[in-house]
Amino acid sequence: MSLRLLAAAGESYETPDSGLFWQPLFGSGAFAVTRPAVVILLSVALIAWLLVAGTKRLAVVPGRKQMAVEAVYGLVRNSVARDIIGSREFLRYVPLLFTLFSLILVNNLFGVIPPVQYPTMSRIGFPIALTLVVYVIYHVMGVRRKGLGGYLGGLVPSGLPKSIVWYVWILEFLTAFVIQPVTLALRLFGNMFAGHLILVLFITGAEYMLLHGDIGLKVVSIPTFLMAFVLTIFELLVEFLQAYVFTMLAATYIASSLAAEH
Amino acid sequence: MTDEERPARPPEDGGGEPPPESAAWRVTSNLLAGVLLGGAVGWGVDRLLGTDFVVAIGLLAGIALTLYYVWLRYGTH
Repeated sequence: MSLRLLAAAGESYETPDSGLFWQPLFGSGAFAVTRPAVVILLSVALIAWLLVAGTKRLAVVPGRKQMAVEAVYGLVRNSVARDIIGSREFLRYVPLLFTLFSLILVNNLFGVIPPVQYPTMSRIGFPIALTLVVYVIYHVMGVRRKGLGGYLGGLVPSGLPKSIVWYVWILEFLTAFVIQPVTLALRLFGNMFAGHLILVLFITGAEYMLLHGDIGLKVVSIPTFLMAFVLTIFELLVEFLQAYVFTMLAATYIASSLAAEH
Repeated sequence: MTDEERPARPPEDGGGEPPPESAAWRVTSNLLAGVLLGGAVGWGVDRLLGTDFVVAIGLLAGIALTLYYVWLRYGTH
């Protein structure tokens, strides 16, 4: 509503839209080096530094840094990998899951951490790339475990009435090969995209009202700033949660590919 | 007992049946797949026959069959 008031007053406020996310730093077109590309490289350097610093002097009684690294690693190793994939063969998947979790978490948190303030995963190419890795791994491990026929046949659980087996096979095939990867990528992308857009809208809107509005709008900008603050806290929660959900679902997909029977 | 001493799950459980919570995610994906599958079949039949109502029947049939399957698989034991 306040935006409409501004428009009526002859001022112009540009509502942030999806164009906000296209930020080439140098170069142009498909091969431009963009802001998210730089951010993800920065995140890799940061994660490597944190892990090396946190594990340099390993001790039985851990120091603060080691404790922090172990807490994150323990979360992925025990609460995600071991509990979902099972204690017999979860270990070989821990490096993948820990990489996914730490990479997504740091890149998501970059969405609100100044001066980066760009959630890499709001460019859909990044979630798609991560999803492709998971997609290839869970299908390849399933086929290796059971053979191609066994894997495809194993999509249907046993004990169903014969009349609906054909339908369930198509349904489960569609679920495992299309729906699961697509929703995995879109969930992460959509959360980061929408969250960032909302934050930018509230913060730039409040700033515009404060600097360019009349006295009424200046007053209204205060609750708007407050709301931006609350939403930033909420966004932090979403950023952590989405990193966790992505990792947990990757583990779930691997586990159900390996399971003796769905 | 520390974390190291306690076995995470019984040893015979190592085969890796995913925990029951993961069924919730799977059911959601199944339902989505069911709607798309029924809708796609109905839409295809509509294109073939030049009609415009089979897509609605397909959507409903897809939802119904999928709900039935979810009930059979998760609701009956």
